[in-house]
Amino acid sequence: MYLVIVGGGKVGAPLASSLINEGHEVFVLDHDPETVASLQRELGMIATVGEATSVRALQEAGASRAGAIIATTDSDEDNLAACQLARTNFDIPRTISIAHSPENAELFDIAGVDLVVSATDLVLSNLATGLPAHPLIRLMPIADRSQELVAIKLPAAGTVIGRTLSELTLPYGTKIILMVTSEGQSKTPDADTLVEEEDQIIALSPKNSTSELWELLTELR
Amino acid sequence: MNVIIVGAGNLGSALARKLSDLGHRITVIDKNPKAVSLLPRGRVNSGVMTVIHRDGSTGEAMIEAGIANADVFIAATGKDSLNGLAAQRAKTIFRVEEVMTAVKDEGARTLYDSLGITTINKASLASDQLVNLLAEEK
Repeated sequence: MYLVIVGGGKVGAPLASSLINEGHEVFVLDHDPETVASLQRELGMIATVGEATSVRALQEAGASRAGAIIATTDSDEDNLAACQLARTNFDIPRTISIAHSPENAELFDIAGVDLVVSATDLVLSNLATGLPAHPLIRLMPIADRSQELVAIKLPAAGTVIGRTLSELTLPYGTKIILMVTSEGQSKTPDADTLVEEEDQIIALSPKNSTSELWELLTELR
Repeated sequence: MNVIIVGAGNLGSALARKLSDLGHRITVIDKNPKAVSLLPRGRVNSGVMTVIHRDGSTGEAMIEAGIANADVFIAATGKDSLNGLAAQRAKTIFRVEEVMTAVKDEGARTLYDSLGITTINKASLASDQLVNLLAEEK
């Protein structure tokens, strides 16, 4: 697939390189001549100097025949404008963008960016994964961000321990997808699955119910 | 009417002055503390014109500027994409009735037209198009 990447920096450059290795045709637009020169040295003539938010520059980058645009600049406003301009002017089928601030991630969704990668969410969930015994890990937002995939570690003395899943009153819309025991054995959850000490529960949760789910699963006797 | 203007540069300040002359209440947001220099001195922070020093594209700054009661939101910084983002937040998140954005790149006009956001530039200010538009709504 032919892909236009705007922003050839810390994210855009390695992304371009890995997409090329996967067999995609890639073109990078960046406003900084030095960044472009370094991309050209490493990856060939696949980059040019231009503003991400200029319709003309997007056109010269071949936006009209691209299968997707991926916006990776440091500036949220430029990422949004690049995606929207590519969509409006070149009917680009798929727009993908980084959003550095969480409130912008929400706005990008509403504004019709097809896939929004929230930098803050990513960093937070990765940091949380690194903390031993962290009780709630937000793994990833789902679809329109109204739901999320979460992992919750159950305490040893929790009120839910020893009960079956059918005995729990989960928040509306919550779906338990997988349970993993402290020994690393996975259990496919059904109504009769027993909840045991230190199980890790992976669930799909409506975003506004996640704290309720967490409270239910970690409540102590 | 209550008007929020983001950006106190040439365009934003000229708009603030003009709309204030017409009797509208103006709140200007500009993150640069020195950016008030182009605004009419006697009116700033006298009740008819308020200045807030924050990044005007953020929801927090908009709330502080009283966006819940704003009739008009105008994004008038020197950066098209920043104006576009601020204008879309005002329109889709805060549901401001009339949202305008300054656009230098003609190629971007179609985009904002399609979003129901009025595009303005220096020429529209000179032609009084904008002032007429607001006067009609009043």
